Amino acid sequence: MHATALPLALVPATLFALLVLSLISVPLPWSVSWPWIPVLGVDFALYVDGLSAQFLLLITGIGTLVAVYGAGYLAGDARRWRVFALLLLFMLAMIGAVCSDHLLLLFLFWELTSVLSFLLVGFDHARESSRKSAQQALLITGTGGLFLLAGSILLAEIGGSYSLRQLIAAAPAMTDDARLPAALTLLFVGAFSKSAQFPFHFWLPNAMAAPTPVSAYLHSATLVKLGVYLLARLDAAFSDLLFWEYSLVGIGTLTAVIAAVQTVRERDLKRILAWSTVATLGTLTMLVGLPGHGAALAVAALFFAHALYKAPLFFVAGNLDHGAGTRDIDRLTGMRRHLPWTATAALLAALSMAGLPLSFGFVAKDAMTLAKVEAGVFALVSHATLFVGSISVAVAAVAAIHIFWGRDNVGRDAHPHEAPVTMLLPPLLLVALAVLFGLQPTLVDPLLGVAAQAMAPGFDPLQVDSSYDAWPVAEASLATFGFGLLIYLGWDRLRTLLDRARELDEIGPESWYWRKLKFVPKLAAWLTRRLQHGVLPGYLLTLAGAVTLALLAALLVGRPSLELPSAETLPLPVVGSALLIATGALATLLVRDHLVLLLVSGLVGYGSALLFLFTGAPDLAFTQFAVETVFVVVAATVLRRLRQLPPPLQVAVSEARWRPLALAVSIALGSVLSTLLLLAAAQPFDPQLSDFFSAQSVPAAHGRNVVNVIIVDFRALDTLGEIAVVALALVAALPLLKLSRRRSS
Amino acid sequence: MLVLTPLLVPLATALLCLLVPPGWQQRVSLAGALLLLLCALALASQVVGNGPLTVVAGGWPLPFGIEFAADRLSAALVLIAALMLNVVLLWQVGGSADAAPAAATLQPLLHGLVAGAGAAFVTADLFNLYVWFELTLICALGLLALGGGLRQLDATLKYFVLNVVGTLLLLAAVALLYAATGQLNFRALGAATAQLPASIALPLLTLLSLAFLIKAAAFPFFAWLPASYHSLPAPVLALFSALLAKIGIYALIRCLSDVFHPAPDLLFNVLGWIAVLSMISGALGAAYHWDLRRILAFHSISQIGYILLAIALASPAGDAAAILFMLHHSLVKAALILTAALIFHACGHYDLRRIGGLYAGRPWLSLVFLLLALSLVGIPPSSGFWSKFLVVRQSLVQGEYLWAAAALGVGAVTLYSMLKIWLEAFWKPHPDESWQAPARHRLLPAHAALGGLVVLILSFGLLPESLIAYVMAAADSLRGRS
Amino acid sequence: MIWAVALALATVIAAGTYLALSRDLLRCLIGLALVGNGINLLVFSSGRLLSQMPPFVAAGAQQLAVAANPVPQALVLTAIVISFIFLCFSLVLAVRLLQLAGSADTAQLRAAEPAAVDAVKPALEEAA
Repeated sequence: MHATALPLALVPATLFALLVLSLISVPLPWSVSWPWIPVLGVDFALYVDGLSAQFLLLITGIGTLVAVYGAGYLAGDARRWRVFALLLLFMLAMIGAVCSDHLLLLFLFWELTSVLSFLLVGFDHARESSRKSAQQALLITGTGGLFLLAGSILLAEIGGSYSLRQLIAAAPAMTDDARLPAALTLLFVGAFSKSAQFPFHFWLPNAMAAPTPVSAYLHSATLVKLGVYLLARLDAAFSDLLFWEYSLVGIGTLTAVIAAVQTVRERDLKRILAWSTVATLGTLTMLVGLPGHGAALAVAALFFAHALYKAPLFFVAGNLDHGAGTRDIDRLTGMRRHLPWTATAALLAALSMAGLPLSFGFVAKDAMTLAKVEAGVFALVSHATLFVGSISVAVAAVAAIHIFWGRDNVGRDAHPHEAPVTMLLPPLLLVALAVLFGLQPTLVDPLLGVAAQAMAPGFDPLQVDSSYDAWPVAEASLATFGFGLLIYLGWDRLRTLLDRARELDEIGPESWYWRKLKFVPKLAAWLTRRLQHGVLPGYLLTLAGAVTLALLAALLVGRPSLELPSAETLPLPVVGSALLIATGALATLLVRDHLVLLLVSGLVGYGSALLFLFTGAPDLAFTQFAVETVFVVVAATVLRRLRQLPPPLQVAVSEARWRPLALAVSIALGSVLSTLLLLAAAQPFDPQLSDFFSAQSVPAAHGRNVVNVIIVDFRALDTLGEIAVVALALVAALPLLKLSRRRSS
Repeated sequence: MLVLTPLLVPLATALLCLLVPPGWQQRVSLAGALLLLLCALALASQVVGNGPLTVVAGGWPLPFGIEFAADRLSAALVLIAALMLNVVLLWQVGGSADAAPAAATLQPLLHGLVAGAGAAFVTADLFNLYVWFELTLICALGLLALGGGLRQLDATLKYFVLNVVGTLLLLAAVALLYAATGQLNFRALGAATAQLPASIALPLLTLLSLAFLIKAAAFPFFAWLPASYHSLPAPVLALFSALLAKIGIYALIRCLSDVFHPAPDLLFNVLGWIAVLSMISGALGAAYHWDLRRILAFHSISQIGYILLAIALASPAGDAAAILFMLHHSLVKAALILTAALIFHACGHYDLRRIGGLYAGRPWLSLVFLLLALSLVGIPPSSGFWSKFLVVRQSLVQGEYLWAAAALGVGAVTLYSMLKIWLEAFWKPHPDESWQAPARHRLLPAHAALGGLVVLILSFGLLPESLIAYVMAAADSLRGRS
Repeated sequence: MIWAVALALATVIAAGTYLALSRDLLRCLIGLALVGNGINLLVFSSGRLLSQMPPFVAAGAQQLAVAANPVPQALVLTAIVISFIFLCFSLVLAVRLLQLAGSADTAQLRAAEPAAVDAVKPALEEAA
C-alpha cells in the first residue's frame, strides 16, 4: 500500500539513456519499417530525424523527471499506480507519434494520446467539474482528430502516398491541386485542436483538473506540442505556400494575444501557467508559419526553452499545492521562508521565462527576434509578439517574486512546509540545465541545428551561431522587459479592469462550446421524439408513405409506357370473382363492428378462392377456402369470448387525424402495385421454368399434378422452409397460449 | 452438402430440442451450436481454398432447382451467425447477468432464428430468400414475446406489423420480378434483368431494395428496431443486433452489387442519402436516450447507415468496406450489449441515471467497455477504425465529400454518446451512497463468452491484415457472377 | 384477364392498407391480412393468366398440354400457408395483448416506449 512508485521512473530513464547513447553513436536519420497491413499499404514505419530526436529527448527526459516528481506528489494515494500506468502508456504513444512516418500510424498514436489524456484529466472523477473538463478535452481533441483523418486521407490522395517523407518530397508537385487548401485546412483544424489554438484554446486551462505531474508532462511539455510538431514536420513541404504562412501566422498570433490577455484574469497559478502555455504554443505556430531558416531555428529553440522553464514552474505550483494547500496567488506571498528550494527553482525558471540574459530563454527569445526580422513580418505581428512577451515577463515575475518575496501576512490553515526531495530534484535539475544552456548555448547547438534542418531542409546545422550583437535584439528585449515590469506592477488593477469586460466571454469560443453541448441533447430530443414517437399507426404511415413515394418517384423517373394488354375475352366467372374481391375489400372500410368486419374480410378470401378456381388452380382454391374458413371461424369464436371478458372492449376506436393522409397513401400504394403488375406482365413472358416443369414432371419426378410436384420435388426447399415456419410459429405462440389460458381459467 | 449445413444443422437441433426432455435440452442445444460452428469454419476454409461452393437441391439443373451457393461473403456471415449463437448459449449456461428466461421454447426458437439467417445467407433463389426471411421473422417474434409482459408484447406487436409489411413488399417484388423475367434463380434473374428496359427495371429494383431496407432498419423505416430491441434479455438482444439487420443488408449487397449488377446509378445515389440520414438520426437517437439498451439500439441504426453508405459507393472497395463493417459491427455491438448486461448485473439497472461508480467498483469491466467503445467510435487501432477508414477513404477518393463529412460528423456524435455512458456509468459516483458492487457468482460462462469476443475484436483491430484481405477478395468476387 | 385481377388487387391493397393504419388493433391485423391476400393475388397473376386448364398431366401423357402456369401456383401455395400462420400468430398476440392492456387502442399502447415527461430527457422506467 505504501510502496513507492519511484522505481517506475527507471523506465523513462532507461529510454532516455538509450536515446542519448544512440544519438551519440548512430548518426541521424534513423529509419525502420515493419510490414503491418500490406493490403492497405500501412506499414509500421518509423523515421527519426532531428525534429523527432529533439522531441524524443524531451519526452523521455521530462518523462523521467515527471515520474520522479509524481512518486513524491502522489505518495500514499491508492490511485497512483493507475496514473503511472497511464503516464507510461502515454509516453510510449508520444514516442510513437513523433517517430511515425506513415500518416495513419501518426493518427493512431495521436488519438491514443487524446484518450490517455482524457483518462488522466479525469483523475478526480468523482467531481463533476473534473468530468466536464475531461469530456471537453476529449470532445475537442477527438473531433479535431476526425478532421486530421480527413485531411490526412486527402493529402495522401493528392500526394500519392501516406509516407510523410514521400509527401514532403512530392510537395512541389502538389501545389497545383485544387484540393490542397482543403486538405491543409482540415489538417490545421486537427493540429489546432490538439495544440489549443484559437478557436479551440479553452480546453487546456480546464485540463488543469489533472494532477500536477500530469499537467507538467502532458499539458505543457508533450501532448499539446503534438499539433505544432505536425505543422513543423510539414513545414518542409509547404512553407512556400502563402496560404500556409498566412494561416499559421494569423492563428498563432491571435491565439497568443488572446491567451496572454486571459493569463491576467486568472488566480489559480496552474491556470495562469496553462494560459501562458497556450500563448507559447501560439507563438510556436506563428514561427512555424514564418518562412526562412531563422524561423526554423527559433522553433527548435523555443520548443526546448519552453520545456526547460515551464515544467519546473508546474512543479513549483505542485509544491505550493502540496506544501501550502493552495494555488491561489492572492493567498500566496513571501513563501520563500517556508519553501526555500522551491523558491530558488521558481526564480531561475522565471529568469528563463522572462528571457533575461544568462538563461536559455534569452537565447530562444533572441532566435525569435532574428527570425521575425529575417522573415519581414507585419508590424501588427511584431507588436503582438511584443505584447505577448511582456505578459510572459509579468507572469514570470508573479511566479517568482510575487509568490515568494514580500511579506507573508496571509492567514492559512495548514503550516506551509517544503516539499520532499523527490519533488525538489526535478525542477532544480531542469532550471540548472536552463542556466547551463544559457551560459553555454553551444552545448545544444548541434541538437537545435538538426531539428531546424528537419524543418527547413536547406539549413546547415553547423551554421548555428548564437553569439551575435544586433540592435533589434537588444531593442526588443528592453521593450519587453520594460512593458512586462509595468504589467506586473499593475497586475491587480489590470485584472479588475478585465473582470469588468466579462460579458465578452459570452461570445467567446468557450461559451459557444457550452451552448453547443447543451444544444445536442435538445436537438436529439426533438428529432428522436418526432421520429420515434411510440405510436404504431404513425410508424406504419411513415413506412407506407415513404414506400409509396419512392415507388412513385421510380415510376416517374423511368416513365415506362403502360401498354394495354391485348383485348381478350373476359370470362364471366373471373370478372365475378374479381368483383367479389373488390366488393369485400370496400365493404371492410364501412363496417365498424369487429365480428362483421371479420366476416366481410372473409369475402375477399372467398373471392380469391373463386378466382383461383376459375383460372386453373383448383389446389389453390381448395387451400384458400380451407384457410379462410378456419380463420374466420376461429377468429369469430375468439372475438366472442373476448367480448364477454371484463372490461368490455370498445366496438371500435375513433380514428386519428391523419385519416385523409392514410386514405391517400393507401390508394396510392394500391394503384402503384397494380400498375407495376401490369407493367411487369406486359413484358414478353419467358416460359422457361414452366416449360421445364411441365415437361419433366412425369418422366423425372413421377408426378401428374405439376403444382404438387413443384412443391415437393423441384422446389422442395421452399416447402421445408414453410414447414419450419409452421412448426416454429406454434412454438412461438405456445407461451402466449399458455398464459392466455391461465388468465381466463 | 456443406453448403446446406447452415440450414439443416440448426433446424435439426431445433427439432431435437423440442423432442428431448427439458433436462437435456441445453446440452443438445450447445452440441448443435458447436456443430454449426464447426461446419461454418469448414465452409469458410473450403470457400477460401477452392472458391465458391454451390449445390442444387434435388440435383435438378439450373435454373430450375433451388440453388444454394456460398462465396466468401456468405461464408463469413454464416460464421458470424454460428459464433454469435455459441456466445449466446454460453451466456445462458450461467443463468445470471440478465439471461433469457429458461423456457422450453427458447432453444428451438434460437436455433430456428439462426437457421433462417444461415439459409438466407447461402440461398441463391429469390423466392427461397423470402421463405427464410419469414422463418427468421417468426422466430424473432417468438423470442420477443417470450417475456410475456405488456412491454414485451407491445414490442412484439410493433415489430410484427412493421416487419410483416416489409416481407409482403419483398414477396411483391419477387413476384413482379418473376412476372417481368420468368426467372427466380439469382444468376438467371441477373441475366434476364439486364435485358429489361430501364424504365421497368428501376421501379422493380426499387421495390426490392425498399423491402430489404425495411429489414435493414434504414431511415425512415427503422422504427421497429428501437421500439422492440430494448425489451429483450441481453443475450437474445446481442444475437438480434448481430444478425437480423445484417440479413437485410446482405440481401441488399447481394442484389445491388452482385445479382442485378449493374444496378441503376440513381438507386445508389438515393441509397447514399438514406445512409446519411440513418447515420444522423441513429447517432442523435443514441445521444437522446439514457437506457443502455436503447442507446445501443440507436447506435445500431447509425452504424447500419455507415454500411449502407459503403454500399452506395457502388465500387469493389466500397463493398469491401461494407462487408468489413458488417463483420466488425456484429462482433462489437454484441460485445457491448453483453457488457451492458454485466453492468446491469453489478448495478441492477440499465438506465444511466440510476447507476454509477463502476470505474472503481469494476475496473476490468471498465477496461472492456473502454476498448469496445473506442472501437465503436473508430479510434485506432480498432476494428471500428479500419472499417470507418475504408468507408471515409473510399468516399473521399470517389469525390463524395458531403458523405465523408457526414460520416466523420456522426463519428463525433458517437464519441459524445459513448463519453456520456462512460461519464455516467463509470466515473460518476453511484447515486446511492451505500451501493457496493455485488459479488460475482456463477458468472464464469458469461465472462468467458464476453472475453472470447473481446479477444477476437482486439485481434481484428491490431492485426487486420487477413480479415481485410478476405473482405477485399469477397468484394472482388461479387461481380464475377455476371 | 389480368386487368380484372389488377383492379381487384388495387382495391384490396388500398383497403387493407387503410385498415392497417387504423388505431384499432383488430382492424389493423385484419388490414394486414387483406394486404397479404392481395399480394398473394399479385404472385398468382405474375405468371400470366393464359389458360383456365389446371396443370394436371393427363393420364397416359408424358407432358403437360396447354394449361395454367404451375410455377406461381406453387409459390402462392407456400405464401398462403405462411401468411395464414402469421395471421394466426397475430391473433394469439392480439388476444394476449388485449387481456393485458385492456384496450384495443394501439395509439395508447406505450408500454415499450413510454411518453417522456422531461423537456430533454426520456422517461425513467423501472428496472427491466
